[in-house]
Formats: sequence, C-alpha cells, structure tokens
Amino acid sequence: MKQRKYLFLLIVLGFILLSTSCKKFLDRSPDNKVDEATVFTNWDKVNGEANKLYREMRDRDRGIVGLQDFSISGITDECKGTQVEQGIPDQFNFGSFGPSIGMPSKANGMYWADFYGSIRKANVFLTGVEKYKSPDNPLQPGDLKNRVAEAHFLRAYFHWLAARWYGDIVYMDYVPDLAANEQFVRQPWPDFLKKILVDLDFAIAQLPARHLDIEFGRIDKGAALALKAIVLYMNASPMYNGGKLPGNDTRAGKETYAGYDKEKWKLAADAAKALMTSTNNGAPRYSLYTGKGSDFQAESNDKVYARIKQIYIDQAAIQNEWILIMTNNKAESWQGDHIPPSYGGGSRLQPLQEQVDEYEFIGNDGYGYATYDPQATLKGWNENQPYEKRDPRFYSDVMYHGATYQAKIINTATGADKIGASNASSTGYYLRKFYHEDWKRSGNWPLHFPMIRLPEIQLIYCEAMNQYSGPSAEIYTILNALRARSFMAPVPPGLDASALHKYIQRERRVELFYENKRYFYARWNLEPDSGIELAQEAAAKASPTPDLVWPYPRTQRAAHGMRPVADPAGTMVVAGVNYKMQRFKLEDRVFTSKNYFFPLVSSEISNAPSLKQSPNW
Amino acid sequence: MVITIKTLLAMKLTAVLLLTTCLQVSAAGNAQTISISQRNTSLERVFKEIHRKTGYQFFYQDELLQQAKKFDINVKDASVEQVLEICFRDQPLNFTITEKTIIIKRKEEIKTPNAAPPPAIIVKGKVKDENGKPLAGVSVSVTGGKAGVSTDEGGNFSIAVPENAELSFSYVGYKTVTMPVKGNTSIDIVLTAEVSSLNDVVVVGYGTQKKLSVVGAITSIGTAELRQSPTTNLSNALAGRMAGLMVNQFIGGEPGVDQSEVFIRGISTYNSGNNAQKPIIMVDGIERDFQYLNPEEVETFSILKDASATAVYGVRGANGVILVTTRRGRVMDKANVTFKAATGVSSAVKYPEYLGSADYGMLYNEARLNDNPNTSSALFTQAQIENYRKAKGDNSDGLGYNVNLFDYAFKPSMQQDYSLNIQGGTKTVKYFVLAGYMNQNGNYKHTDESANNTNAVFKRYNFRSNIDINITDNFYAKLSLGGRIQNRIAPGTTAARVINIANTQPSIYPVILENNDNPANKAYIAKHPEGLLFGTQLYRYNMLGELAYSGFLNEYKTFMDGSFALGHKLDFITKGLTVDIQFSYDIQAGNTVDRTIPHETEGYREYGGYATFYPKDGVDVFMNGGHYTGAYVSPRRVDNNTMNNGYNASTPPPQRKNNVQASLNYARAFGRHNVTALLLGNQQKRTYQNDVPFANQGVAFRTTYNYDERYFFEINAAYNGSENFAKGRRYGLFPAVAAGWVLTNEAFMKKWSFIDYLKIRGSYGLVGSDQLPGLAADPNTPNRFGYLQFFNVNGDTYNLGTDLNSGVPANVYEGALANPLLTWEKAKKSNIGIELRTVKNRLSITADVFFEHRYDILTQPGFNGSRNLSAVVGQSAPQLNLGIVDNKGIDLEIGWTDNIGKNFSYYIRPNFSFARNKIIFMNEVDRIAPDGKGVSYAARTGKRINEQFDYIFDHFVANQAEADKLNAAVYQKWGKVIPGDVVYRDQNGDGQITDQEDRVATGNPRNPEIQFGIPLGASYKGFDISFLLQGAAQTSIQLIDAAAYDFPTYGQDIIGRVKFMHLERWTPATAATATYPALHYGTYLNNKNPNSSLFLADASYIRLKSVEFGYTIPATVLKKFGFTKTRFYAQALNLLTWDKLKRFDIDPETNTAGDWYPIQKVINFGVYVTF
Repeated sequence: MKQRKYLFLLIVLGFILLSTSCKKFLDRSPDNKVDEATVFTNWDKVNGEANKLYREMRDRDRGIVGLQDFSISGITDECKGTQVEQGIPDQFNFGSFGPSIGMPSKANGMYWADFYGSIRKANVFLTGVEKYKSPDNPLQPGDLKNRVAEAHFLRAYFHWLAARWYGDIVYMDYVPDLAANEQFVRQPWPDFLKKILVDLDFAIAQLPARHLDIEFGRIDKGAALALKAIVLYMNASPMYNGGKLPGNDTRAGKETYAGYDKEKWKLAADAAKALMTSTNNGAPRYSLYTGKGSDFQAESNDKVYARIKQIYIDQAAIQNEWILIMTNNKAESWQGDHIPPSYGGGSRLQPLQEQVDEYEFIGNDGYGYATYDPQATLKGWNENQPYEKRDPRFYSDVMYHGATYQAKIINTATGADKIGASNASSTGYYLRKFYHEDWKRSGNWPLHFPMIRLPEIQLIYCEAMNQYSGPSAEIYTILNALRARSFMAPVPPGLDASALHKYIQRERRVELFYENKRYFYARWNLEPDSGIELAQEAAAKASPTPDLVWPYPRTQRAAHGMRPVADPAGTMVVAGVNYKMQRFKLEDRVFTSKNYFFPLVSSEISNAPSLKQSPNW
Repeated sequence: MVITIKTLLAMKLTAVLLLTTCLQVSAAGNAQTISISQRNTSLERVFKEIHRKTGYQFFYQDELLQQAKKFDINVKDASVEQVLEICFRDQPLNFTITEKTIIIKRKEEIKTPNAAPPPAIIVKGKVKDENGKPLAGVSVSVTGGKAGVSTDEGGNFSIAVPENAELSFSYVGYKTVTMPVKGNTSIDIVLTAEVSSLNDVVVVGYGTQKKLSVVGAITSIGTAELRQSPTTNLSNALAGRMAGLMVNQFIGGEPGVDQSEVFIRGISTYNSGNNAQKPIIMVDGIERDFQYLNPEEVETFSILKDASATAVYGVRGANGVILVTTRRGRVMDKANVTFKAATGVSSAVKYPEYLGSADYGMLYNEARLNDNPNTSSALFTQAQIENYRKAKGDNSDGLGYNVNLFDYAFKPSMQQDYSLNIQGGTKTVKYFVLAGYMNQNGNYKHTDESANNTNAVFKRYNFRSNIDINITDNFYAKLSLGGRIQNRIAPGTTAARVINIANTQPSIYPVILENNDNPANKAYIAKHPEGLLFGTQLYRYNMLGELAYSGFLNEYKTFMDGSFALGHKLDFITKGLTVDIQFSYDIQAGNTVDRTIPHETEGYREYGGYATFYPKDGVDVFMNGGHYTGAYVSPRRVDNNTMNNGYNASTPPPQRKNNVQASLNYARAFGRHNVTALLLGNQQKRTYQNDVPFANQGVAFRTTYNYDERYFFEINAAYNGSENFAKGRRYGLFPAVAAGWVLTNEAFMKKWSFIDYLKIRGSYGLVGSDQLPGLAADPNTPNRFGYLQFFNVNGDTYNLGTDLNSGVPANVYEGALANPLLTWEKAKKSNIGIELRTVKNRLSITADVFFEHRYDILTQPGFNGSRNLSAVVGQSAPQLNLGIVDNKGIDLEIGWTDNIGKNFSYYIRPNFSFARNKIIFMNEVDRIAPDGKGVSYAARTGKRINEQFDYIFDHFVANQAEADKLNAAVYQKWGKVIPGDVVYRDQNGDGQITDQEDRVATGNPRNPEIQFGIPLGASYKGFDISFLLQGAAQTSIQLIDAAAYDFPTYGQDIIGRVKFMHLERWTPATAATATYPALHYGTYLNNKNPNSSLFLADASYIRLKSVEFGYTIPATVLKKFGFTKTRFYAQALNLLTWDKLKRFDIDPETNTAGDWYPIQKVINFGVYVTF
C-alpha cells in the first residue's frame, strides 16, 4: 500500500496539468481585430474607416503608376512602354486580354472587382454610421458630417471610375444582403448618371469650399463640382450624346441617348462654370499657378520654364490649381525608372511622335499653329528643324535629340541613349514631364499626383460653350490665359467653331499630357472611329510610303517615332554631327470596336449570369 | 560471467559470518533505540555509529557501498529499523535484519520472494544463427525472472540460474527460443531469423501493437534504412522506401532548404491551405518536425494510411499521419557505445548548360530580326561570332568574353557527420543518449576574396537524452529531451540569386571589367583594388559581388523538445490497467547576426551592396570584342554600401508549444480472448511569435479484441475539436472500425503449409481535416478564424495637410466575410489489405487497396474556378464546406530474402504506390466559350487535382501567307505572328485561341500518381551492399522561363540566355525538322507561353537514389582493441538518373522557373565503431 503515494502524486499532477478549462480552451480570438459595433461607436475607428477610402481612391486610379509602374499613358497615343514587368502596356496595345484570357494581372486596381470592393467599403461606412449613430469628433465637431459627405463623393467617384473603363455599371448605394441572392444588372447610363449626381450634389451641399489647413487634401466642395462637370461632359460627348458606338452596341437603354441633345453641353458648361467661379471667403477658390516669373530651369539651356515644372511640385500650385489631389502617389524612384540610360534610368515610357506633333509651332506672326497645319509652313515651320520654336510645354514635357537635361545633351544617335540600345528609347524621345529637374538620383521626394486640375475644367467649359453657342471672346480669354501661363503664344483669332474645337482638343492633349486623360477623352469622343481619322488612316494605307504619311490618324492603331540619321546635308547639329530627322513606324496596335470598354471576365458572368458582357466582347 | 561468480563467493562468506555473529550477539534485545545526527554522512559512518551504540553487525561487500549516496540524518530515539529506513531511502540498496545482523544487498536482489535462494548453477553456452555465425547481444534470461545477461561478441554467455529454471533467448529479428536447464551447465542455441517478426511491435497512434494484431494500414522503416542516405534532411531519405508514401524534392537542393514534400497516398483534397493536403507529423507522440533529427536517434518511421490507423487523430487525421519515434534505452548488461564518423562530397546532380557566346550571338541576331526586320538594335557581326568561336573566353585575346558562370561560382563541397550514442539500461533505469554534429560546407567559389569569408556553412548539433525509470514495479517515469542547434553561416546573397545570375547573364559580359588607363577611370580603379565589377541597370547583380562582397549572416536556431511522463499500473483496480500522464514543452528560438551589406534600390531595380560599373558607351561595346578604352560609369547612385551590424532575435521566430496528454491503457488476456483499450485526452497550445496561441484538444479511444490470434477486431475513435470553427461546430466524433483474420492460425490451413502466413484485413471509418483554405505567407500561421466577422485595423495612414505630409489614420475596414457555419472536411476511407508470406518465409507480399471519399471540402469560392459571388457585392464569398474529391489507389510491397550458401544472403523489397484522385464537385463556374457554347472539356470537375490545362501545339506557321491569314483573323491573341511561330489547336472551333476554352487537360499533374522504390542488397561475410532505385511515373512538369524559353525575361526586365535545345529552332531552312519555334527576344507570349504543351514534359524518372557498400571487420580481429563492431562504408546519393528531360537539360525534381537549385549528389565515406 505504501506505493499508492506515487499514484496519489500522479493524480495531483494530472489535475494540475488539466486544470486549464477544457470548455474555453478552443475559444481563441484575434486581439488585433475588432467587431462592427466597436468600430462604429468609436470616433477614431470611424475616422480611420472614412480615411481608408482615401487609400482606396489611390488604389483605384493609381495616377502615375496605373499599370504597375507604368502610367496608362502607355496604352494611348501618348507613349510607348518598355518590356519591363511583362510589358503590361503591350498586353493592352496588342489586345492580349479578354473575358476568358483575363486582364493583365499586374495592372490590378482598376478592374471591375476592385471598384466594387471600394464601393462596398464606402457603403459599409455609410450604413454603419447611420445604424450605430456614430459619435462625432469630440475635439472638432462637424468632422463626422464631413466624412459622410466625403464618402458620398468617393462612392460616386468609384462608380465613375468603373464607368470610364466598363461603360454600363451597377450603382451600389447599399450593402447587399447575401441571403437575398440578388440578381445584379448593368444599368443604362442615364440611370446611374442620376445616382452619381445625387451623391455629388450631396457632397457639394455638405462640404466646405476648403478644409482647414491641417485637413488640406481632403475632398472639398470643388472636387465634387469638378467631377460633376466631367461627368456631364461625358454625358454630352458623342459616346452618350448621339454618337454611334461601332460594332454591336449592346449597352442598356442606349436608345435614350441615341439622339443628339445640344442642351447636354449647356449642363456641362454650367457645371464647369460653377467650379470656375467657386469662392472661398469671398475670393476665387481656384486659379492658375503663375509662380517663378519667366525664369528658366537651371541646366536646361534656357529651354524649360521653371514655372511649368513647378505646376506639379509647388505647394502654391497644389493648393490653388489642383482640385482632386492624390498624395504620395509614388516616390522619387519613379523618375529613376524613366530617365535615359545615360543618367542611370530605364526610360520606361517614351513619348510617341503622335504626341510630339500635338505641341504647336509658334509662328512668326505670334500665334500657335499645329505642326501639321498647312498654316504652320506659311508661318515659318521648318520640318528639318522640328524642335525649334515649339510650345514651351514641349521642352518641359519631352526630351528629344539635342535637348539639354542637367547640362548634358541628349543624343539618340550614338552612345548609351541611342535608339534601340539596351534600356534606351525606342521612339527617339524620353519623358520629362513630372521630373524634378534637379534630382540626380539622390535624395527623396514624394510624388503627388493631380487627379483633376483647373485647366481640365476650363477646357470642358470652352469645349462645351463652343459646341453650344460657338466661338466667343470668353473662350479665347480662357484659352489664351491658360496658354500664356505656360508662355505659349495665343490661338489665332477669328476661328470658326470647328477650327476652335481642334485648338481646344489639342490644348487638352498638351496641357494634360501624361495626366491619364487621353485614354478616356479619345473614347468619349469616339475618335478612333470618327470619319476624319478613318479617312486619314485610309489615305496613309493608300500611300506608297505609309509610314511617312502624317499627321497620324488618331485611331490608336499605330505608334510612331523619329530617328536622327547622320547626314552632312542635315540641318540639325548635335554634338557636332549633322542629322536629318526621319519619321518611322514603331508598331501596329490593336484597336477594334471592343476596345472602348473593358470586358467582364467570364468567371464574373458565370458567377452572376444577370450581368451582360460589355459591347463587342 | 565473472561478476556473478564473485557475488556467489561473497554470499557464501556472508553465510559463514552470519552464523558466527548470531552466536556472539544473540543476547541483545530488539527494542533498543538510538539517536543520530550527522550531515552529509555516508552509510559506512552511520553503520559504525549504530554498531558502536547497539552492537548490530553489518554485512556487505565494499563495492556495494561505493554506489551509495551521501545523506543527512537527524533522528531521536528511533529504532534501528527506522534509522536504516532513512539511510536507505534514496540508495540503490536495501537491507534485511535478522536478529542483530544487518545484511546489505542491491535493491533488486531483495525482491526475490524467498530470502533463501534456491540452489544455483552456472550455465554457459554459445548462441549462433542458422549460418553458424555467433550472435552478439542476444539477451539470455530466466523465463519469468528478472535477471539476464547478453552474449558477448563471440556469442558466448554465462548465467547463474536455479537448476530447474527455463532459459529464454531473444534477439531482435529472430524467433525467441526457450530451453529448460534441467541441470545442464552447457547449452548451445541456434536462433532462426524471423522473416517478418510478428512479435515485433509496430508503432500505432498513441501506442504500440504487435505486428500480428495490426489491422490498419501502417508501414514502417527503421534507422538502418534512414542511415543509407547521406542527406542532411531526413525527408530526403524517404523517397522510395515505403509503399503509400509520395516524396518529392521539388524545392531543389539548396543546403538548409532542400526538404522534400511528403504526401501519404497522394492528394485527396483541392483545399489549398498551407497544411491542407499534408499529413500531420508526430515525433514521440507530439506534433513536431522530424527533418533535422539525426538519423541515429530515430528508432522507427511509420506512416498511418487508413481510417483505422488515423481515427485517433480525428479532426486532423484525414491526410494520414507520420509517426517518428526516437531510440530509447534497453536492458543490457553493459552500455552500448556507438561512434559514427563520416565525410563526403556533395555537388549538384547537374547544372544546366547554356550556349556559348558564338551561338548566343548568332541566335540573338536571329531573334532581333524576327522581332523586327528593321530593328534598330545593335547586332553581332559575323566576324565577331567567328571570333567567339576562337576566343579563350576571358578576353585576354581580345576576341570577346565567353564566361560560364556556373564554373565560375560553384565547386563541390565537403560535409562531415559525427555522432556518438550510448544505449543501455538496467531493469530500473534505461537510457539512450546521443550527441551529433553535422557540418555541410558551402559550394561557392571566391568567397574568401573579401575581408570576411562568406562561404555558406551549415552546422547542426543534435542532442538527445531519453531516460526511462522504473521507480517501483508499478510506477515509472520517462524523461525525453531532444535538442538541436542549427547554425547557418550564409553569404549575404541567396542561392536563388546566384543561380539566377548564372542562368540568365549572357556569356558575352565579363565578371570583372578590364582596367584601362583612361583617366576617367583612375579614381574608380584606385578605390576598387578588387577590380571593377561589371553591372548595369539591367544586369544589376554581379556574380563575384554576390559571392564575395555581399557580407554574411550568422544564424542560430535552437530547438529544445522535452517531455516528461509518469505512469502507474492500476492492477488493484483491475489487472492490466495503466494510467499515464505526459507533459511536454517544446521551444524554438533564434538569433541572427546580420552582417550583410544592404542593397541599393531604385524603384523596382535592386542592386547588390557593392559598386558595379559598365562602359559609358553602353554595354553594346561587348558585342564587338576588343579591349575597351573608354570611361566606365556606375549604374548605381552610390559606391559600396556599408555593412550592416544587425542583430535579430526573432529570426527564426520564437515558438513554444505545450502539450498535455493523459491516458488509460488496458491490456489483458482471458484465455484465448485478448483485449486492449486506450482512452486518451490531450490538449495542445502553440504560441508562435505574437499570434494568438493555436490550440486543439480532444479525446481518443481505441479498443481491440482478438480471439486466439485468429480473429481481430478494432475500434478507433476520436472526439476532438479545432479552434477554426464556431462553438457547436467545433467538436466531432471520428470513428473507424477494422477487422482482420489470420488464416494461417486456423487449423484448416495446416494442409496449405507452403503458406507461412496469411492475413486479410479491412477497415472503414471517418476522419477529418480542419485546415482552412488559402496560403498564408508563413506556413506557421495558417489561415484561421474563418467563422468570425471582423474589422481589420492596421497602421495605414494617408497624408494630408497643406504640406501634404502629415499622416492621418486610414486603417479600419471590413475584414473578409465570415461563415459561422464553417466546419471540418470529412474523409470516408476504406482499405482492404492482405499480408502473405510463402516459400518458407522468403517471399512476402503486402498489398492494400484503398478508396477515400473526401467531402465538405473547405473551399475558397473564386479560387481555381469555383463559383463566387458577383464582384458587385464587393467581397468574395466566405469559405464554404462544399467540395467532393475521390481518391483511390494501391500500395504494394513485395519482399524476397534468401541465402545462397552459408555466407551469402540477399534481399529485394520493391514497393509501389499508386493514387489517383478525381474532383467530383467543386461548384465550378460555367465553362462557356465567347460564342456562347459550353466547353465541358475545360471543366476542372471530373479531372484530377492540379491537372495541367494547356494550349495544344499544332504546328509552326509555315510561311508569310499563313502568318498574314492568322493575323487578319486575330487567331491568336498575343500579337502578330511570323513564320515559325507556334500555332495552337482551336479546341472549340470558333476560329480563335481563347484562354480557358482552348486549353485542355493534358499530361499529368505535377505530383506523380505512381511512385516506387526498389531497395535491394546482399551481404557476404563481412561485406554488405545495398541499393535503392527510386522512381516516379504519371507526372508532368510545365516548364517556363529559363528551363525552356529562348531569351527569357526575368526580374522584370532582364533578358536571359539560350540553351542547346534552341539550336533546333525554326528557320526557313529548317522548317521541316525544327522542334522549337522561331526565336524572339524577351517576352513573347505566343511562343513562350506558360501554358504551352510544347513545354509540358514527362517528368517520369528512375534514380539510383542511394548505394551503400560496407565492410564489417570480424569481431575476433577487434577484440584485442576493445571494440565489438567496426563497420566501414561508402555511400552515394542521387548517383544516377534516367529521365525524359534530356532535351530541356533539367532534373526531374526541380521547380519550373529560373531560380532552381539543383538537388545534390553526395559521395560519402564513414565508419561505425561500437564498443
């Protein structure tokens, strides 16, 4: 019996070890996460949730790095992208995407599911705030009201982003109940336009003209006014106003906007005007940046005006000219990716000849003319000196054969920056816009991106008024002021509506180059299938030397460059060598009737058969 | 036995003395009391004191007291017996008092029931095997008694026994023989080998069983097999060893990260969770890693395959279970000390071969012109291509570079392995202790060219101490400690990067630039006496820079696994009942000294920590040969970076795990009825880093019954739970039943005497899997809490303010949607097996057929084609239980063992595993082509898991006319095609190649459906040789990037090289015979497509996995040196491979991209010394 003491020991030990509660042993819960009620009854969490929508904003339109580290400029007639990162721009330009192939995988953030993920976050926020009667900021009452209004704007904004890429969308202004097994339907443009406007009008009514300094950068009234102008411009553009979408137009309710309605232009103009005349404390809220006088950027051979560079850097420009701001879009390494190889860069996106041709020539009569305008030749344009006397924004936006950058001359004929050398340009041009000219691959700076700038809205106003009531002194004043701000010569006087229309379109391409506008404005205007462009394309095809026929059609079906050819007879002299400049076709691109909108991937249609595929896919 | 004789003499002496003392002191009474107070005293001193005070006499052998411990004593007025009780409390001794005489004995001796031992005789003899070879270490004992001896190296024994006793001779692997002594003093015995010793115990879940009584599907191997593969990772020693075990080293052979992937009976679920397809691994009953155990410390390695064997693991048992047990002590008359020393050389099985500069140049030109006939890119001149053919390669001749970076970077490396283990024990204490040291040197060259030697060294120290103590007859304790230190010194680079550089960098570029006297370079040359390392914005890493100038890491990982168990027999409740409680605590800790040199990054471009340079005129100067005279520039922004002086205490992350188990065991025979039962409860908590602890708990139950060892029945069950599910859905009951029939134990089988053994068994049951889908980045923190709806909170901010740089919190958002109804996956498994031995036990066959029905598979909607909510909802559907997969197959093991003559014996034991799964249901999306027609062949349902869906190569574009036609029709969507490009088959006939609709299931999944091994061996006298042929079939590998493509794209913008297979490319001249499409530079999805059948290769193979040749020096020779056994051996691992991948020039066990590290071939020499 004396050995029982060991058994006793064992039993005691057993009890000690097993004393942890068995019932609760598996009740584990992550302590870094919280539940819905906790979130919505605490101001800090509510605020954190509202602010999360700003990060969503940055992720849904990724500004200067829309396609991984490429800008969507590379899938327009602005630029050519390199083969880096699986050559994402080429995957778009060559049509390597579709419902069943799927969308290029690295360019995420701007696809159907991404937008609805963000929209849900806005709806979860708005629903929760209402359900839990969330508390306002105790230190700064009124913040909650602002956040709710900002969320309304962002909900409208995300829908609009989706509509830009996909056309018809489903407007979600609620959190769907999973049990209801809802059948989603892509709504007609006028229907969801109305809903976008409801959300925007709510934001316009609730938001201040300008937030406090510490809150600067949030959505304010102007952002909502500007987006409203853009949405109404879309509504007035051929795509939704009497134009014919090529192919089999399967958009819902398309008959309601098949006819042309001139009044739509008035709506757009009024909306733009509301922004342009909006005030803060009695003073105009927005104005064009005019800092830096007429100084030239150092080390640019007095070609680049400091002011044009500073529009994208100076806080004065950001606060007064930018309307919708994305902060910290990217860091300085972006510039390292884009500068020429001889500066240690990767020349990631290279401007095309198509874009270069849009920068006007300043004629000897003091007015600007398109290089392909017969007028230009009359006013002194010399095709063998293509980079002389161009719009000052050209020198600021593009590096060309003979340009001076950081006191060195760019040479695309020999050496490391030669066309076709490893890592070098394939078009003959390097990007320059958005660069910090003095950045020499050391030091850090944040790259903020203007999602909407005042000139875009001014151009909408000019175009809408020109469409609605023809040329006017007001249009001239606005256009010439915008050009003069960049030291550009004015528009020649006395143009008819059609000629002025071209100047406005060109102004947009130049002023808003590389700001993610071209892709959409080209489509809203149905440019790739407009009669003029198709005729231009046919003419080139008929020519024995199709690659040399320009101006190039804006059909998005080809890309061109310009190469220097050493020739003693050439009049362009770079590093002591005489060159002739020669146009060449870089590549063909795919643009068919389906390319106006992105397709839904086939799994989405399979998951929700009530959703119709985008037109022509 | 010399010692025994001495004892007997001593005992006789004792008897004489006893008699005399009795006469002397008989007058003294018994009731005397004494007081003693002594500190740190010895028995001897106390005895003297007692003797002085009371006159008691003590009898003992001096040597006995030498074993006694010192102790403290402080008693007042105690009886002599009480005093002695205290003195002997902790001593290995005991005492008896007869009158005034006290006799001191060893404790065990006192246990003999009768104080007066029966008359004893000394029996001597010799034990031999059937071949007449003496057997050493045979345990010889009295049947039913406790004392025992073992035979010496000559097979001799000597034991003192009562003359009417029965001796029992037992030896592992041989049939136990009993022999009555009947007064004989000399007994010689021949033991016969037991082909598959049915009395062997087999490790089963939470216990052991006799092999005869096992009715589940279990396969085991032991230390001997594991030793044959000189690998640092035990998982690499398993391939081909066991039927039902699928082992693949797809990860490659980089030291320290070369573990094989192990599956039991293939894959039975498409659930993609980190551990959702893998078996659980238990080392000594606790979930632990086994990969870095020293093979010498492993006793058995078993796999549990069917429901009967795994049901006790319940909610975690569905993928099978691997059980590893470590060695423990045994009763031996003297400790068995084994020393092992081995050294070897390891090198890659093969490095890929690339074309040299001449062919590179030739194909480069061709690719560039294919891309664009008017290309503006620089091309190689014909003269330079000719120069490359003549060039030495280092440009000393000015003819250009032709650098082989594999030769430049790699050399064979040395490895050493030493271990010492001691095994032994008595009836009260048994022990196994081991210390092991393993050292694997790196195989990089040039690592000594910087101030710090950066070569990779992997060192592993293993310790083990397994102690079993029988405190009383009924009470025991076990302490098992296993420790391990892994020390890795590694260069600041990674193996993947080194391999990647070697795989991709064109041979036309140097490693070090030539110095020239251009004044612009003077400063660089002065600053970099080691040479100007070549590097550009594209080829950003330099091979020498990575090897020598990347700094180093010194990483320590410490693992300590400890368990303590106490058990007690509960015979007083009912006979055969035992209780056992085990507590274990495992910790792992890490610390890393980081002396790497930080990299420089600029955007996506990342440079090494050292300065690199390239010609200012552009790298294209290397396309021209000659000696460059211009300036050099650096692609980087700064010169050399400064070395880190970092320290990281959480690499690897710390983890601790405690596990508590309590069990009741019952085993008893009632006549011919044999019954056992087990009831076990356990609880485990694993705390990893700062995560909420991972927990599971449950109860396991097993009962077995057999009648007369003919009919066997078994029920296994678990009731256990997982923290992954909501209350009420957490616990499940997982039962399994099994039965077996040993026909050869039936009377009617006597006439079929040529069948030595025949058993039929079958099982059926339910097991579960609680692993949630979705891959977590760290496999130690698999996805969890799928049933809880949360809001995520993180540290994100968004910048605001007039300077746009003050961050506001932007960090709260709705987490993934939860499914509160979530529960475990279930598997219904059935298994039928047969075990047969015939031809006088020489032929043995074990065959199993199994069928598994997995259902309620935990599915992540939207993944791999399963249906999801519309994206419009804004969140993915929560995880669901919905899928069904069936898996069936065969395990087969055939053995043949025989002798030829007395000295030559041989064996061959092929094993074969086949498993095929089929997805029955996964709620798949509709497979509809753009033309609206269904394409059922594109469905994953009905196919195998991970089936490869490819575009089927049809032909090469024949000419420009065909190219134009295809381009006009936009037949293929990857851009325009040219003559020689690939044309794929339009499966659905809609005139276009679309993605899902034109890809069809082809080849086999990557994980082989068939694996087999053929171990064979022979021994002749002291020589032995063994081989393991191992192979896999029904497996395909989809090659991409460097493994298959011409000029592949890497690291976002780097363009790679060309292989010999690319010489077979299409050109107008070779159109008829070409096997590879027209070449293109960089990404060209039309030809270089990751889903092209052109690059789907049959990855079947047979390997000579291991070879071992050994020689054991005869015992007679060694005797005078004091050794009992010495064996020299030579081994090889992965010596030869036969496969179908010659054309692609890669190994069948490899991953598919460009950074594979070849698996290692090892040649190893070693010696075992036992003494």
